[in-house]
Amino acid sequence: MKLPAMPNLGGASTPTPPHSSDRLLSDLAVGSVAMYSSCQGESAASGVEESYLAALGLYPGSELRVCKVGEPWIVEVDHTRVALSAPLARRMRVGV
Amino acid sequence: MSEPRIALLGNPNTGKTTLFNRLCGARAKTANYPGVTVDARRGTCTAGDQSWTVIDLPGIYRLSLDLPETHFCRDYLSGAIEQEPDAALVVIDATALTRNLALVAEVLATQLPTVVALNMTDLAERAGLDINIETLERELGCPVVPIVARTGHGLDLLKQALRAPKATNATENADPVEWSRRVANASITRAQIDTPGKISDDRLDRLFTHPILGSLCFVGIMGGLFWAIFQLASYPMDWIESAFGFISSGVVSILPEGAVRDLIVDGVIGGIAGTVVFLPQICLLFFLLTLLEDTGYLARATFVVDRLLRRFGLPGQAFVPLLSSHACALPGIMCTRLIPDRKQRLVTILVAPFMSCSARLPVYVLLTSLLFADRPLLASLTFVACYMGGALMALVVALALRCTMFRGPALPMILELPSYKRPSLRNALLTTWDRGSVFLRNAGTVIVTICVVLWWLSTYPQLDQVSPGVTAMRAEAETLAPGAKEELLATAAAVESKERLAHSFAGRIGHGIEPLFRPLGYDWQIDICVVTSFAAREVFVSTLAVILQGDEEDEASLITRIRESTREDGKTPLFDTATCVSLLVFYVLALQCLPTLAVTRRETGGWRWALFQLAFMSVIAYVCAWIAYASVNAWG
Repeated sequence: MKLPAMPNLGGASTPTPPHSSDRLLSDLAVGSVAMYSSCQGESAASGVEESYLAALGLYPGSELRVCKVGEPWIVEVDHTRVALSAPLARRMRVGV
Repeated sequence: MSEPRIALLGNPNTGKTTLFNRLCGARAKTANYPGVTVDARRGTCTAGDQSWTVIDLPGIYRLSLDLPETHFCRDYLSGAIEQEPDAALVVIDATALTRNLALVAEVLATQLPTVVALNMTDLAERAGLDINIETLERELGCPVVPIVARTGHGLDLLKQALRAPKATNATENADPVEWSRRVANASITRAQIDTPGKISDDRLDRLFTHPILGSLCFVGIMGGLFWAIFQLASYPMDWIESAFGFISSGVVSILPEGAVRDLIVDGVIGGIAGTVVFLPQICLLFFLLTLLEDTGYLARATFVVDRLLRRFGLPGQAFVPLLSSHACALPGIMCTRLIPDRKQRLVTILVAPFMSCSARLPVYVLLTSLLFADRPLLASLTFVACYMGGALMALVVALALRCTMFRGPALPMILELPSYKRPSLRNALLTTWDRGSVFLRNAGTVIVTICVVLWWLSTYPQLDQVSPGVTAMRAEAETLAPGAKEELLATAAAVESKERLAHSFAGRIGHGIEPLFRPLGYDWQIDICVVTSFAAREVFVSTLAVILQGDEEDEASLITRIRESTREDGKTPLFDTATCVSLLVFYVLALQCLPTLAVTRRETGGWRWALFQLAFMSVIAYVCAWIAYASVNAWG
């Protein structure tokens, strides 16, 4: 039986470099639609964060809609509402 | 030949447990696998002449994530826990196809024969999604059955499909995310983005996560929950107490006086009653929490609490475990599995027993009654202070642990918010039944065993003959008039009982540890209560009733006897104000619960953290009780 290898976190493996049109998620207003790009962070936990985001459907290229700003930020991705703490939203890059 | 075994998998919030309950009903039970801390429910599903064993594995987003639940699912599918399952049934949410298909891709890659249940098709339809089942089935290479688990729609077709699951290599080792995107795009023929449901979800989310309005809603909802747990549960609790009292009286009237009767009445029946009496609170807690969870509110509440808890290094997910600990620390500690960050989970486990559980209530009632007999307002305020004191200490200790032993960044809050929906009563009842059974199995057996052991410790070795003082009292009583005679005989019986207890192993332990607890104002009699209540805090009151001889059910007479009881000099009150305050502080903060230690050991995988928990809570309780005793004495 083949099982997926632990480090294979699908979609989180190759962080996309910031693009000139990239903005921070926290800069968007309610109702904005954007493409998730990457999550900035140099700590050991940042890889785990990326894998969690990917598991909830937030991988590079996912289309998201901002439902609520503030603490928490709420975005909708693939018909799923995901709540994100404000510090995290300030580190997430999106392409508009 | 044994039934085929089917592993039930799915993302959280996909209705996996609802489907499991539909397939297996009340015949399911939670299975504990040795060496792992994750539970999986196991049930039997039948369709005509065919039956399957269904194993409801924990909800996971991906098999590749590094979480205890994910490790468990991987090990289960690979046959590392028990024999490899014969097939997999993956439940996916029709309204979030791409994300859910990533897990399907990983399961298909294991080459297990698979069936996919496409759940919540009614919600998908309402959301404007049109999914082509034939295309999806062709892309996956295994049966796909559209269902609505909440209503039972499509379950017959699903059972038919389970007769012929298929193993495929549809993913062809492609990246699960890319593959799931492609398959979802091919299968969804119509997708409408804005729907009235989403707009109302947006509004409700803004309300429930608002800093002020959200907090007010939270206080109101949780206040109602608390009220229900403590008020409504009091009726069945009274019935249970009466029923066990009736059983005890029956046994007393049938069996002759002696050690066997004492063992059955005080050890076995008393032990069972002491555990079962808390069952209504536990059941009500799980019933209401399941209903709240089903509505989708609980996920929003997590963010409201996160604002407070994160200042103390705890995540919002610690809220449910800490709330549950107010009924009993055992389910509270088990609920910490919701916390993804290991350090935060461990800290929550360590501080959860600071929350005032139901077992502390009898002790609080007794001691506040002694302190403020004729001042009910002060007694009530002291009661509230006990609850607040425990919760505050939990937060302070959590902060201290996060700043010292468990330093380091924690995962920021990332949480899926399930759609708002009407809760399922059937689901809540089945979950309550399951959690209640687990509580009785786990806690009941331990507490009953401990109560029997404590009964033995406080009964043996038996005193061969009573002291000359008691004999003299009885002889003198024979010479007195009827009224005075009975009074002296009762005093002689009380003295004899105290002598017997002092002679027992428990009495010797009480005398042995007296120097340790003397700074807190306790004498050897109270020390026995402290020792025996280590099994379960509520045992404090029943032990006191045994020491002071009399009917423990008669609370008024017990309080009078406690108030009038003296130390060995016969003059100094046993329970003066300073001692009562010291005891109250001690019981608010001390662990004093062996089953909690056993659950901590199980959830942390060893005795190390359980013993650490016992040590630091005991030290904190001792020091605070000593400060309280000294302060009250100094204040006069």
